[in-house]
Amino acid sequence: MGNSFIDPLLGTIEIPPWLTTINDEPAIHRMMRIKQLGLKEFISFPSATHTRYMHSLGTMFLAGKLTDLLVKKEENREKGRKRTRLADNLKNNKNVLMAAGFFHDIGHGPFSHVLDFVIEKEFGRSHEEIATDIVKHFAKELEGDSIPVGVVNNIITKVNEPYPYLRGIINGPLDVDKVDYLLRDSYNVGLKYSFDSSQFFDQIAVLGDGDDLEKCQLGLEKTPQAVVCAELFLLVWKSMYTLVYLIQKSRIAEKMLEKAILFAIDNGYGIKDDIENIDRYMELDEAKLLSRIRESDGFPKEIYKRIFDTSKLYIPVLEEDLDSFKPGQKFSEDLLKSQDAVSEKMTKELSKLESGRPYSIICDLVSSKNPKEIYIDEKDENEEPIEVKDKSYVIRALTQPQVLVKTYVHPEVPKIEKYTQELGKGIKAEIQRIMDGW
Amino acid sequence: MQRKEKEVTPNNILLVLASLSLYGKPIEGRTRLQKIVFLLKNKYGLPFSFDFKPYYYGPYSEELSDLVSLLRALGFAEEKTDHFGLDQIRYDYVLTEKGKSYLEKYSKASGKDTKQTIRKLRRCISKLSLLPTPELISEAKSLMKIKSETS
Repeated sequence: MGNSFIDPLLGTIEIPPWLTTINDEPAIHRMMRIKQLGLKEFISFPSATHTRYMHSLGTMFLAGKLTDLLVKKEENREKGRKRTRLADNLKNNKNVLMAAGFFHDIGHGPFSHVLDFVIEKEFGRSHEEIATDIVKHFAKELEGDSIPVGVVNNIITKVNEPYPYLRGIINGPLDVDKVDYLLRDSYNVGLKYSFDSSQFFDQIAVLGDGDDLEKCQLGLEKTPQAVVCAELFLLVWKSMYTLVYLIQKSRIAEKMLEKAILFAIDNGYGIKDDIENIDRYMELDEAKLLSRIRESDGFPKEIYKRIFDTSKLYIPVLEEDLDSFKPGQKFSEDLLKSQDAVSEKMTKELSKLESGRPYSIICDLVSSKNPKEIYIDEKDENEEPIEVKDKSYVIRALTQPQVLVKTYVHPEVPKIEKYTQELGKGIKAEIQRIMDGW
Repeated sequence: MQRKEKEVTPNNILLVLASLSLYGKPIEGRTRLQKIVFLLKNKYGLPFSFDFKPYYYGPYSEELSDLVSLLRALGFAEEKTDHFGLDQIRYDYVLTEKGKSYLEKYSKASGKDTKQTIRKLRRCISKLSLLPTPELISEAKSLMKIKSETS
């Protein structure tokens, strides 16, 4: 491997020494065999063949670029307003941030988010928590380059963060992870949605007192350009969720695959060992997972065939706003803990309507993706911080929280093709009944 | 892989809804809501399980922010806008009719401890609602400072 790669999106990406040493390790090579957009390559976007590895390199590169820019801003401040401690802290942590950018997604399973709930349900862990185990595996190489593994992991998991603005560069509402995946994914699926990442970075600032770094946060400059850049960024984010990440056909296929994996685990088809054992998990790529599903008998094998013959996918029969239901206390509390676990439980209850067929009706609760609070470098008359949302009705409209209740039904549920609308009404009533007895 | 269990946080929903209801007027702005709940937890000992972090603008809990988003998605709470100043919008938080019915139903059905907690919440929040905004902010920031220094 040379010391740089050419990326079609970002140009030349210099490879730091620690990465040169470990780049051929299996855990890292595995990211080259995990597609950034899961099944979308097969269902809705045939050109979406880019991998987690390229996204990881891009996030690493952008983390370095944004850190350099923030340091430069501090150095260019006029005398008396310089925040020397902050500039030094950013400089000292540039390599840490680049490593966190590179490793932040290394715990992802095959087909990326498809496996998120499986891992949460079976092992109570997130892909970020798995990433921390893998990062520890490279402690020698990282620490040899003065990159403390503990700090990298705190940034990835948001646990015990020493400086919130450092974490915010990788894992926050204005992070470089989003900048890379939005630009990279839109480029690769062939949509021309974009924003200028350099101009956007120019508007990012560290907010707070330079002598109290533990409280400083990443936010936006107090400029009209910052509001417009944030509007554009959020518009692309929102559009990508609606038109790519959650597009119906591939979303249905992803939920079907998730259920096939859960069924295979529950019925002893061997996949459990591939996930439970971290060494085997590191060998589990998409080809291997699909062959496990294909070789299983019964439901998983049937689902495999349906996913790759898109005319046989589950049929969408209901899409309702959650606020049109009356959830009880236990349901609301469970929803707060894990939306995916609630979807799974609802799926199992609904599927009892079609006895004998596992996962005959899939319930999918889908939240609108909204950024956490994004602050501007400005305060109101009470010395309270001002959010970018306080300056823009566009951002307010883009950040309305919403949860949609969707259901997808096995095509062989009786009368499905003729009566989807009536079935939708019946399922809605059934969902309310299940919520009442939750 | 070692299985990790998530911590269960009962009653946060009921307590936040009760706070919105018992405040007696719309809560002006998200940061004010954060500071009110922080003081209810840390000054008056009400059993919210949110973890607050000391940011430059005062205490902040991401879990509380998530809960408010969920309450809005469920139609229990809403964010009302008010234009003030030249180019600024202010957001006020209020309980909806649906949120009121939920709160009424589950407060009645709750156990003795929760009822007692809600009675205590009523007493504490009425004190906070009388505090002028600068005092409320300053009190929350001072308490957060003490907590950070002693933790």
